[in-house]
Amino acid sequence: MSALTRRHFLARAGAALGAATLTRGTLAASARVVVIGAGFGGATCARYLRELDPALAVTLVEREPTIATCPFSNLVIAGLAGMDSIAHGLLGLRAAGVDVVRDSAVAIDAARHEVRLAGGRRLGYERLVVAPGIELRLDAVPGYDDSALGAMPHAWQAGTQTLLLRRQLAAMADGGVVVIAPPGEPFRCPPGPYERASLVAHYLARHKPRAKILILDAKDGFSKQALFEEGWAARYPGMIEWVAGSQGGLVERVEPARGVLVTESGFTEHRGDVVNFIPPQRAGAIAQVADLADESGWCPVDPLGFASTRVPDVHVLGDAAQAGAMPKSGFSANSQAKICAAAIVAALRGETLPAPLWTNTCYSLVAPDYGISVAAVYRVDNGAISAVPDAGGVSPLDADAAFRRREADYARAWYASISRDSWG
Amino acid sequence: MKRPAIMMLATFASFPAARAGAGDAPDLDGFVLGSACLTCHAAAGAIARIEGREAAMLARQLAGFRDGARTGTVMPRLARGLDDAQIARIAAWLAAREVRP
Repeated sequence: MSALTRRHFLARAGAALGAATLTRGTLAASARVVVIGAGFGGATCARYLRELDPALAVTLVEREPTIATCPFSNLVIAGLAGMDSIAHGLLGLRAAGVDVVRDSAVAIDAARHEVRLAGGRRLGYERLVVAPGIELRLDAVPGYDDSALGAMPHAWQAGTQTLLLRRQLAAMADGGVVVIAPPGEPFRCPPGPYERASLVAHYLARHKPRAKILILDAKDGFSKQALFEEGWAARYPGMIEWVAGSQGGLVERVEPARGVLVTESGFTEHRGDVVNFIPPQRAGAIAQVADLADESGWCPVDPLGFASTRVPDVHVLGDAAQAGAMPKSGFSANSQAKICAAAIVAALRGETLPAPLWTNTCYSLVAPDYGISVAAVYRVDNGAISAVPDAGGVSPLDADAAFRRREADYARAWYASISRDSWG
Repeated sequence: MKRPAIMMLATFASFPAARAGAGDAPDLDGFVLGSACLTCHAAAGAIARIEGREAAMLARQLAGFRDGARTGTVMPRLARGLDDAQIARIAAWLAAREVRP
């Protein structure tokens, strides 16, 4: 395939917009799309770009040989599953015709339409998709820096941190205190910390029944709160205490060596035998380096195709993007990636993207046989992604055991399905 | 088989289906709604496979979830976000898809 120069591409793209009679296929056949990141967003986008237009040259850049997902990593932390159950190789992407390059993107040259890799390679593109996930802010809470990660694992990027937290829980004595400290909005996986508390409680109730879990929250409320609290009362009575941010939950400083979290202007010190501190976050490093993120740390995008509003011909997907009402979840990233792939294919052909819908469903396990969910449908309203009124919502309170079991089964089925839909 | 009809439509440049008619171009019109289903429905298990099923049946199920004729967990909440035309496009797109074994 002969590479198009940038000038030719623009000339043709301009012609395509102006004249509907342009021969379709020629342009798309020559176009190169580079995707950075093989998480839910990047992998899904790469696969569906190839499905929608098999002539596209799609290159995906990923630093890791396998992807470990945050969804279902709480099962690993609770000793209910192994790391292999949340690890996904990239062979399915290769089978779909995606050129997978094992490297990291270190810079984006927007003027030249090139991505620079750590290994020295430069990848030219007509369109670039950036799906880097999150970067943890190790400058936001005094005491929580690089040196704190061993003593107070965040386990908010799955991998060695997941296993470290698992080992610390396994080593803790009965009667110990586990502190979980979630950040304020926005952050990856809003119900995640509370599912984590649930499944850790499930483990402790069986192995260390005198232990306690203290959630020191930066917020005054959380996703599916009434459902979680109902489940905790039913399954783990007295084990989990949640402290709202304005009631002394906001952690202002940590002392990792002593396992101490300081709140209320230093008035109160909490000590945990195991501390899971989840720091504030921002879009992944390449989004910061390439100036895709604004002062909030996240990347503003045009809602229809998730094109960056700051750098032309670059799209940003998933947790890194400011996606209006959509939460930062693997499901959201998967949904955004499909629409982004369609938007890129439409743009390369000079077509208009038909009005899309996005969806999100977040399942959480209160226990292995007790699932709860929140779901929503989204559309563009007044230039922003908004929830479709009257649709969506959470599982009912007071549902019977069969309903909770069914949602737990669906949670596992969802994980199998989205894994296949994303990585092939 | 569908080609003559599509070529006829192609003369009306503003008609959405005309875009899908160009060469082997995929149906983006159905994709931007229906592909969302595959996030949950792409693997065998507790959640049903729905690709390649009859369009009328799929549309009936979706409308049933939306209107309360069918009970469920998540599906009634999601289907309430769809109108009849969207349901028809989703059902047609899913029906036309081959099932991945």
